[in-house]
Amino acid sequence: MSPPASSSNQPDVTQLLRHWRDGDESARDRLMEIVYEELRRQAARYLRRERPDHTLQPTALVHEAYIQLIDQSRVSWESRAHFFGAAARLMRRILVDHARTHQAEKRGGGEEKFALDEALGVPEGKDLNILALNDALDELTRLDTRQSRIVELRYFGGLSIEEMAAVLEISPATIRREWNMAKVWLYHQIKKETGQ
Amino acid sequence: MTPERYQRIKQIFQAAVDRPPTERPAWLEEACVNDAELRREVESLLADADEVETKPLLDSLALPALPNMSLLEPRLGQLIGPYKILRELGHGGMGTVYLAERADEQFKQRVAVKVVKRGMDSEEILARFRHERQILASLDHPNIARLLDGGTTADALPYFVMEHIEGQPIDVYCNTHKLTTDERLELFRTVCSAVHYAHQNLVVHRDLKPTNILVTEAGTVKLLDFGIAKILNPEMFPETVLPTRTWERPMTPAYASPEQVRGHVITTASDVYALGVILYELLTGQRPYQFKGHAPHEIAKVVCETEPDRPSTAVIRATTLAEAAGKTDGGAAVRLRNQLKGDLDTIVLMALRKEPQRRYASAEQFSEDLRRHLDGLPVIAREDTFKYRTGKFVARNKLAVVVAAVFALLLAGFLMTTLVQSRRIARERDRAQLERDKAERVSAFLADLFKVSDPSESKGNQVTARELLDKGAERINTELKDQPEVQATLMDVIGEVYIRLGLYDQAEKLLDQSLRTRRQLFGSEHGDVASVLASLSNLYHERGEYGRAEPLDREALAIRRKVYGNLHLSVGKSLHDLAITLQITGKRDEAGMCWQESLAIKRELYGAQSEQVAGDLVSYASYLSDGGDNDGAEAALRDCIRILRQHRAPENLDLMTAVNNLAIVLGRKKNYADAIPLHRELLETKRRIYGAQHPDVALTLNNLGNTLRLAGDLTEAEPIAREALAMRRKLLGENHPNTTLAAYNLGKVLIAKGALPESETLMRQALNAIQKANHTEEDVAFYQQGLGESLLAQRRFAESESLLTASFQTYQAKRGVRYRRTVEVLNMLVILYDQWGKPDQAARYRALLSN
Repeated sequence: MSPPASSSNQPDVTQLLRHWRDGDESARDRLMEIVYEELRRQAARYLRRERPDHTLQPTALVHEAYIQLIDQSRVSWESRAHFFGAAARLMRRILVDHARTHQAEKRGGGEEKFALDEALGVPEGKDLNILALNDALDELTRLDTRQSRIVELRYFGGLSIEEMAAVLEISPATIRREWNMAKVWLYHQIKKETGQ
Repeated sequence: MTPERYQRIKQIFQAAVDRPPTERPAWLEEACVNDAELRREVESLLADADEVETKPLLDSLALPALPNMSLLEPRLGQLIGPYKILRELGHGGMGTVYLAERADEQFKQRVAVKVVKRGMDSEEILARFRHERQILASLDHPNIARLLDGGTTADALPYFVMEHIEGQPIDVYCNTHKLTTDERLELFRTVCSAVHYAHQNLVVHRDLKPTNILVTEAGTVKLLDFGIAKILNPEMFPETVLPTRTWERPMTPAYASPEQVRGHVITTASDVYALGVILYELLTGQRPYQFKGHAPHEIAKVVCETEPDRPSTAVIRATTLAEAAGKTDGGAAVRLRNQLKGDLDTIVLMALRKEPQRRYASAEQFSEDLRRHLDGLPVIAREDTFKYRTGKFVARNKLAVVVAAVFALLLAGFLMTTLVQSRRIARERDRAQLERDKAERVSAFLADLFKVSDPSESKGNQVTARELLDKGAERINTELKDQPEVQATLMDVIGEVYIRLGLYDQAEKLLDQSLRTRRQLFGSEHGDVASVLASLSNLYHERGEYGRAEPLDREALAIRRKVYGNLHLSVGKSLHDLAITLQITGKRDEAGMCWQESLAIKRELYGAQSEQVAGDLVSYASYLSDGGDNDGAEAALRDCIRILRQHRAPENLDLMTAVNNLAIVLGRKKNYADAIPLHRELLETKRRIYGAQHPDVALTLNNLGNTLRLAGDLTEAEPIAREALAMRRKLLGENHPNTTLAAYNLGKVLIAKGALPESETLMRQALNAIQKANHTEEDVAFYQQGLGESLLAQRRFAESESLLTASFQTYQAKRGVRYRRTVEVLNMLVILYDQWGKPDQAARYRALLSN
């Protein structure tokens, strides 16, 4: 119930978030640096732990980071959405980095399984290859930046339609339409790429 | 593809999606006129869109079901079900609690809505909630906040609706109202009575703490969140909990009992413990334990291994510190200390004992003792004697611990029975009511057994578990004469406990009696008759009387087929039992058919990739391997491992067993090159989970050593076999069958290396030890062979001959000539007589071999 204790040597993250909301872009950079560190630390912890019956849920990590870093009573709902919007991209970067390193050192063992494979309905029995998703998303960015941003916000940030609407400043109805197509296209694309 | 092209596809796709499927083709034709490629693109996307929507696997892609969809909390004014959120009341590890009111009613009822946070398995929580809600909703006690409703939010998060209580946590209330010690005790007794009421309804709280116990301004106590912890995370079976997971359960370390932090079975006794911590805090203002860190193992160490200060000591210590800081005068503290010293110290510490069964038997008894203290009467609680110091208890009282754990499981089992039955109410209301009464009476009786209410009984002498059981068996006969169904059920229960304790004669008597009663009540074709038959068959298995088990297994199977039809889990279970019996009695062909039918049933009921199938595959593989079909066994195990890996983490016990068995089967195929890495991998996993010294680590060391020996790598094998033996001697004692086996295995390495005198010593020790322990004839035959081999290597033929012959005769009688071990001994006998210069005898055994 109490706000997270802010340690003395760290800048006030909540303050940074508010400055950013007010248009201060340097606050954004500083904020992202801290959030990235926090996310990376937590992702590393989760990925190391090999929890039975649990898969990594990137959105849960983002949420966890938010709880850790931000005094929730001091920020508006729109600021929250912004935070998650930015954190989603960082989360994607972390997962892709991890998958790359992991792939490099993989020795025939089972690949890491993320909750993502449930989220993205990749053909039966196949784990979602995070790198395949990343490639497909890159391709989608080239074709339709807005759709790719929506996917990113949703998969890696866990934002709802309304929250995405707030971050991207477009109507919820449009978000819904774009999302509906984007997920079908991604599914199509990954299926094609993984030869299923 | 260019972005422009994509936009074009998007335009057509989105327009097509908005049209009814029947109109799409015509529309597409029109829209894509002159561009067949565009039309193909859109059509394939549309096909995928249907797949995304319809395939169950892909459901999660559809918006409402995506896990962790929204990360924002419900907001003011938003609706959760029919409840409108007014404000946040607080949040904790499990989620957030809101004040809300029902929007659609004339009078506005204020409620507390608890929304479970994301990241927890919503579907499972909901299933459990539906399962338990009837019982929880029926908890009707003036001091328990009622559970009113539950469901899922628009974001698919589970929520619970509870009576809203305006009040202060009990500790805050006591302090702001400056209650005296006696007033605090009275208030606390109300808490006990509410907890006891819930326990009688078979609901354990699991997360009692001051913030869950509110006191209203009018002074009424209300307990919150009864049963919620269990819905959020039930751990009925302790073996499924690996140490690494301990912290994922909802609990509050300061109030968690040793069994809770260890992940063991949680019972009503865990609530009694939490009550003890709360009382400690109410009386002294201190908590019994100070934790230095937050790491689970640190907390577990403190909770399980240190003794709390007496409450009277804690008061003084805390005051001395405060006094030194000039904050208080010591006078009040000394008065408080004098109040606590004696009875209250003893009572609180009794509730805080490490072993669940040594605490108060119930919250009511705890409360009663406080009443006695308040009335100036002698209390039941006694000081802990030195022999029950932490950690020593388990070693000295294994029996009691086993019994307590078994009872806890059985009680849990009855709770499930009650729940399952309450679901059936719609269809057979009367029958269900009867069963429920029966189940409740049974559990009340069992719970009662542990309640030693006569103070003279609990003084000094601890009642042994065995005495409790015997007394229970006696009471069933006298007290439950007019309730034969309850009587029979209890006989089964106590009979099962006797079996687990190895008291087979007592078990047999009860189970026979229960069988007779049931046949009288229901006739011979009834599911309950089949269950008793299955229990009796288990009993004969334990005794090694497989011949007697077989007809029982057959009868149980026949009954179940008739009662439930061929495609039923209980038929599968009977087939499983019968298969094992037949396998042991050498009726291999029929056993194989049973396995196949059992597997077929489980595949049909649960799916080919289910854990149930995997469970059968492990046993089936043993069957195949025992029959020499190691290729079949390898295939079954690989199949099993593949299935389990889909469901389980590498540390899962079943998975580790399967990997272990695969390694052994590969060893039997002499494919040591593949077997050894599997053993090593397993060793690594186990060391990671269990630490360096653990019986399971010893097991794998043992297997690894053995495999290395067979692979001919004696240099590697010897230190490993020595480590296994040393570890088992230390952990299990010299005469434990597993220690004996490790001695045998080291003996085998030493025979191969030619270190014969030491091998003889080990083999002799092993043979002696096994004869002292609980053993079968085959066990003895096995070690006779070991010693015989060592003597043979030393060319002490006559001594060796008598041992090997005895061993051979046992194996031949029990398992026949084709059995793997029979063949091994035969080979040894042939060598023996060849070397001894007795060609006739050698020829005789050779002839047996070639048969």
